[in-house]
Amino acid sequence: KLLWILLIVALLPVCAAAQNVTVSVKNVPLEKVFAVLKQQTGYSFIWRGQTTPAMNKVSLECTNEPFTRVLGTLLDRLSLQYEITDKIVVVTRKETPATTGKEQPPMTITGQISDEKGGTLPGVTIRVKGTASGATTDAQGRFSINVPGENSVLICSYVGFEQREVTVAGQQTLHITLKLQSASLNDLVVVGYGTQQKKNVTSSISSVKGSELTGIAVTSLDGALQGKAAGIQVVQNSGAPGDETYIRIRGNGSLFGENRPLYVIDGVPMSNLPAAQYGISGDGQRIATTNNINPNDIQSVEILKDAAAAAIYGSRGANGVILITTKRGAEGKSRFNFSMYTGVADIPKRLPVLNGEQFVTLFKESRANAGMPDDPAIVNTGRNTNWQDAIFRSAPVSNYNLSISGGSGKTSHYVSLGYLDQTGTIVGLQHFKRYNGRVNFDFAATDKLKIGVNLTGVRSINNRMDNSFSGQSVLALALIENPNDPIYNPNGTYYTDPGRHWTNPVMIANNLRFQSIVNSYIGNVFGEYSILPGLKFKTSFGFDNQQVTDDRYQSKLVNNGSAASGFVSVFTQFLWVNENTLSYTPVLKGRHKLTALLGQSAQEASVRRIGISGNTNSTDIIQAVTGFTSLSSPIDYRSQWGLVSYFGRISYSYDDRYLLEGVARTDGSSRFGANKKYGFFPSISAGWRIINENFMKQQRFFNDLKIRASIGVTGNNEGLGSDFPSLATYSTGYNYGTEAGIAATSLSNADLSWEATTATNLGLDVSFLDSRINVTIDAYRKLTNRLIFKLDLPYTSGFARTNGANIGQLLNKGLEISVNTDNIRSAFTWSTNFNLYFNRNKITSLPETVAGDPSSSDFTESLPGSFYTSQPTSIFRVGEPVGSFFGYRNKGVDPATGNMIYDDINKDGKITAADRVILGTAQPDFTGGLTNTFGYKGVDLSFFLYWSYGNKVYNQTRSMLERMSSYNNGDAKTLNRWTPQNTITDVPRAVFNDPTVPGSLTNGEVSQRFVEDGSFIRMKNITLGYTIPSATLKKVRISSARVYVSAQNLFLITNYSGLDPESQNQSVKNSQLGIDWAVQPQARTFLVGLNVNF
Amino acid sequence: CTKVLDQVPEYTIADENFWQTGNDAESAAVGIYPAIQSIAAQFPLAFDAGSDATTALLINYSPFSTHGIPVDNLIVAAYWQNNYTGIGRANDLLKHVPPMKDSLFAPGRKEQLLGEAHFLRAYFYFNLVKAYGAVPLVLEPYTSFNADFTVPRTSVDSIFKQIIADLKIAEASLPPTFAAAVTTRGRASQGGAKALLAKAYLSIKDYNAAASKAQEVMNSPVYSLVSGSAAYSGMFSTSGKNSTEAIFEIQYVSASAQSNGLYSYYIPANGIPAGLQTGGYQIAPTTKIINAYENGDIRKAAALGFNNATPALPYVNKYTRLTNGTEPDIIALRLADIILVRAEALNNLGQTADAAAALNIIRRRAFGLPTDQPSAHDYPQAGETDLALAIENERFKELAFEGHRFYDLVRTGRAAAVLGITADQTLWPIPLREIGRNPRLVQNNGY
Repeated sequence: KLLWILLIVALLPVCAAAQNVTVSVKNVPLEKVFAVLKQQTGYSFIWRGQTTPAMNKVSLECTNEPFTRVLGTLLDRLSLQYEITDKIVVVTRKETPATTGKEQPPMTITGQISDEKGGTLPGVTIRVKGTASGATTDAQGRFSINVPGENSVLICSYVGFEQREVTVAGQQTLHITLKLQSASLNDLVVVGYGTQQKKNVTSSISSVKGSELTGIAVTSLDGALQGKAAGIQVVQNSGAPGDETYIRIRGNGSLFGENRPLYVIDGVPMSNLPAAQYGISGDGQRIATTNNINPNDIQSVEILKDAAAAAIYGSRGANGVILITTKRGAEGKSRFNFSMYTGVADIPKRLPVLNGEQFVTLFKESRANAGMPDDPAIVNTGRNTNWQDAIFRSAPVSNYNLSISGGSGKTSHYVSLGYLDQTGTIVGLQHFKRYNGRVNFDFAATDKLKIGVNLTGVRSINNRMDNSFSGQSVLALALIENPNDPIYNPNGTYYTDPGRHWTNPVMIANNLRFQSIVNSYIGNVFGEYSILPGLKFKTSFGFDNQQVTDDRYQSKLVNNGSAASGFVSVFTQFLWVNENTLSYTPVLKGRHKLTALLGQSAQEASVRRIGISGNTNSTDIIQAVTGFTSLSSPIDYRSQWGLVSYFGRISYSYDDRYLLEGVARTDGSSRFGANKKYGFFPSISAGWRIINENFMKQQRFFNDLKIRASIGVTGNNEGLGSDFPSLATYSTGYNYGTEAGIAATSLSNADLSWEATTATNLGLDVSFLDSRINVTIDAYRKLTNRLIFKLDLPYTSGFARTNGANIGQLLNKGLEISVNTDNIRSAFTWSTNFNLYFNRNKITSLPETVAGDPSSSDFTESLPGSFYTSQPTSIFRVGEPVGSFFGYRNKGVDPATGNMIYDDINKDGKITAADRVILGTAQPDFTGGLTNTFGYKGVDLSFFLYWSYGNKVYNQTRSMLERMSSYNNGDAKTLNRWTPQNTITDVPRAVFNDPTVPGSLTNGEVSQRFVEDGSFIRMKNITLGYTIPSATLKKVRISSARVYVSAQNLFLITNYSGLDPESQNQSVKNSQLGIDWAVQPQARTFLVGLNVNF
Repeated sequence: CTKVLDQVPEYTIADENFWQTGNDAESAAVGIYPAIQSIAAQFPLAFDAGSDATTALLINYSPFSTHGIPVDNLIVAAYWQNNYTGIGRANDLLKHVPPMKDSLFAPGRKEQLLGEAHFLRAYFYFNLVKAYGAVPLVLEPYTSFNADFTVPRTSVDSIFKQIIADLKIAEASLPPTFAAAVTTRGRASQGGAKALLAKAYLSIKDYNAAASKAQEVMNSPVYSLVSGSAAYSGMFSTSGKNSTEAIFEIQYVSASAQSNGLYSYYIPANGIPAGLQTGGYQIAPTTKIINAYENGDIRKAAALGFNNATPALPYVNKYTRLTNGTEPDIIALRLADIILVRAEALNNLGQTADAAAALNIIRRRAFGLPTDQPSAHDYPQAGETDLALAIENERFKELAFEGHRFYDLVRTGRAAAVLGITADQTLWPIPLREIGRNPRLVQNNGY
């Protein structure tokens, strides 16, 4: 058998070209002959018609004769005829015996093809039935084709339109009208471990086509999904290339655990790497794992939103699942695609900071108000360096992709290469490069066995910028730097402030190396065997191997002349997964349809991180840590986890009207307590396709009408900070003097288990007005129980808190509306894609540790408050959403003293921590996207708006620039500060060190003053393209080509006073959302691009 | 597939794999000590801030100086936490080592490790009772989350009973010295148990027992007072660690590994001798302590320094870090303390001559004189009439900035007279965090 396979592979190109066959059979079923022919030629055979004469016995004897002649002779004897389409032989009964034997005169037919409204359709494929000849329509929709006779049949096909057969019937000129395909209801949607027809889906799934994700200068897939679908919130945390994006499907489902969805790429589940062990965090901004996917390779992205869709991923489905399906080769000659764009990004906005003279005045005033002597070094030099201009730059970005796809007979392939080169918008080292490669290969080993491989390799090199807290944030340093200082000394070296009150941001940007290199290999091999008709067994073995090398080097220059310091860490992850599924689609009598799936999966992941840091005094040439004079802080972290699962799905439909689906998964996880190793995750969903009811048969308004409902349970087992959260453990490192000690570090919790989310969904799919308007509305409610909360213990236990215990409860409910419309269908086309997403998040239960004291359930967490700012604080409180800012409410500036007045909430006569209140939430009331696409004669124009409404931002950048308490430069707003002459104002007086006011606090406390409305509308993308007519391209052997120009983030409408309302320092911790702390804003980018198929 | 689910941690030890070898027990004993190292910020800093020896200049310790400690004070909470963390580890050892096979240990070693845990548990409870009065008495380790963590407070008497019971076991099972020189002073020893017993007896006013235990320590050939100015100052610095006078000295290594960081509170930002790390000067010595020393008292230079600013800032000189990161130790128990314990006990028993003799040993040494020869500094000096006051003052000077003063005044009932505080202010509040998480705790009076 193997020899056969090898032989076929070897002979394949020959067979396909020569198409000669050798057959010698006697009295065998026709089916057998077809099998032999298929083996020799690679052509598949299918029947069309009521009865199949497959079992008719035939004999055939031929040696090296042309395939078509043999086939013709064979079928003619049985009164059958055939036609060949894309290597498929379609066999039908002969229809017109009258014409047999009689040669018809060939003729040429001309014509024009249009849609129902009379709009011309260029590029329609026309084939003559039963022959290999074909043609396509030109820009005016006209065609010309030679047919063998007057009874020939033309087959017209065009993407998005129903295929149509037209009999020539002797006419020489034809006008053919094509009908639009109705709402692409027969489209397939990828679901967990399979595909479903869109019309039969009973759960809530959003699909985004790969083509919608390309041509945008966004490095991560998550970023490209922003505004494309309802039910998914994406925040582009910063404009730094390669930074992580905040992504939540249907709200925040966990407080301390993982909130990101599960990503599954071609069946391989990728790990959401935990923050603590994953490289240098860059003050919370991780590099995104989804950076490793080349958007150009993506066929489609399916977002599984409700429990019914995600339950098949069991204990990892609670945050939703993103299924990424990459492109595969299709039958036919090799198709080459080359696409590229190149452009330039910049940051148009500047914050209004004081000029040199204003700064000196402010500084002197703050010293005098504090009763401190003036610093004579601070004088107005009249230089007025614009430090923001000094650190922002126009940054080029380019992306190139080449793919080859095709297939012949038993094999098909998709091979691609990609390269992205993005310079950061901050001067100096900031730069991102990515190299991608992918091979997807399918092979039909036998009639029944298909095997395939998916493999992708990525290398990305990200030269990053410090985000903020370390005191080396380039943007923060630029904002606070004295405008009287120059960037460079007269001799060209970097200017250094003699008093060390400022660090030259341009020097930092050029000398602080902070590099993350990611090497990632993800792939799987799979085999699919058809045991019986309708019964298939599939097995796959996949892996996800990631290596992140972080290294950081601060030269003596950066370290103010002290020893240079460096740190290097290598993080590796290896995950393997083996999955076996059995799917069964029996042929049932009558109107019943059934599909069943049964599966088993096992996976194991291990991570390791090795690192060391050190100092060196000798040279900046050797930046490898081994060359350093002293080494310290070695790291060798290892961990691993395993998951064993069994799952099943059964889908039943009656008469295409009533749909019912049940899904269940059992997950056993190594992560959880001995008493809770296995969890069960069931879901049930139902749909009613009202459109197919008898009473709907008469109406012509609706093209589709379906209601859906689902309920189910999913879990969350990720992001617990450790892979062994349930164990009582002992750790080393409790050393005393020179002796090594070990101590107990955690308590066991044998009952620890996943967070469980019970979700219900109600959905409506409606399509009307000739499928011009397609609306999907979903309403959901997600209640997360057994929320893992690190409960504080009394210290008398010997421990500060538990690793985690299942305690809290969190509710998300929301509404999603998406509307797709075809507004104009003619030569001029206009379509609209609109979505709107409301989510309401609320913590409904937390442990109340002191009976009757509501504040005892509070959990507050603060970001560091560097650069003389107070630490911004967020709180988890029952009844309030995740991401609530916590601080003081201010009542303006006291005209008498110039100090801030804070609201004494508890009326105890003084301002203390007890007077803090919730100041707003980072979570928006709603978000949405609107895409309009226009087309006319090859010209296309689209614009894409994205908005977020009602989200608050804590503008910590402003709290830094309005503190007036140090050598930091101030915001222009400080010009309105309190002075004895200007007593009615909302900006307090300037006083160095901002001391505590008796009975109150400092003027720069975390307060309502710095909480701003972060609502915005952003012109995410506007693209103008032109598809060059194929007639022009034929001469240069190009089948299609499109050129485009595009602008991203062209404008932003917002009341937010900072650089970018989307900016947030980090999205790792739910307790620290929406804090803009000198975050690099998103860039405005102009691109030109090209996409060529040949 | 069960193999996939059976993952064993590699960066940490699951409890079922621990307590298997003698080495596990050895490491676990060592692992209790970091809880003592962590106490540095509260002891001596916070205790002395509440005494008349230092004043806190900045916010961290000023509530102790003003005797208005808020119930949510972080230092009060940290001291509670560190002591109970140590108690938890000691309890863990005391539970798991007894069932271990004797064959896993060298002869007598198992008892020694248990004795060490008993000593340390007593040490932690002694710390707690000094700061908070009655505290929850926890003698069993917690292993599971599913336990009752609410424990009520146990009376001061009962805590002292437990302290003495633990120390008696430690005294019986610990060797007079450990093998290596450094660990002799750094880890629990028989002398340490006796010394702590003497102090515990003194606290519960069992003066006979206190005097005799102190005498046993003084008789031990292991300990002797250092003599001379250089050796005396050196005992507290990085150069003279683990002197013959130290009975229980908390070991610190360096700024990067185990550090106490005391210098940062005591040392001024500038004008200090070269080679010393500059600090933040949050805690300043009082005029009272500066003026307490007579001329020629070698202890003044060991305890106090003056920077070269004008006017010169006085600062606490006992804990200095070198610029190369070398960290001094903190001496928790030393012979001079125990000699004065004996003096105080004897005086309370009416044996004033013997008490004065003990006091004079300390006085003579303080002026670099032979301790066995009468001197001009002997009690009673001109104007001295009250031996108890003389002992109190001697402790003030001898043990300055070592964290004893506040409790000495509380123990002798002199806090109100000397510090001007109420009885309520002699105890710290129970940390608010604990009351929140353990509803059976009742707050101290006045908080």
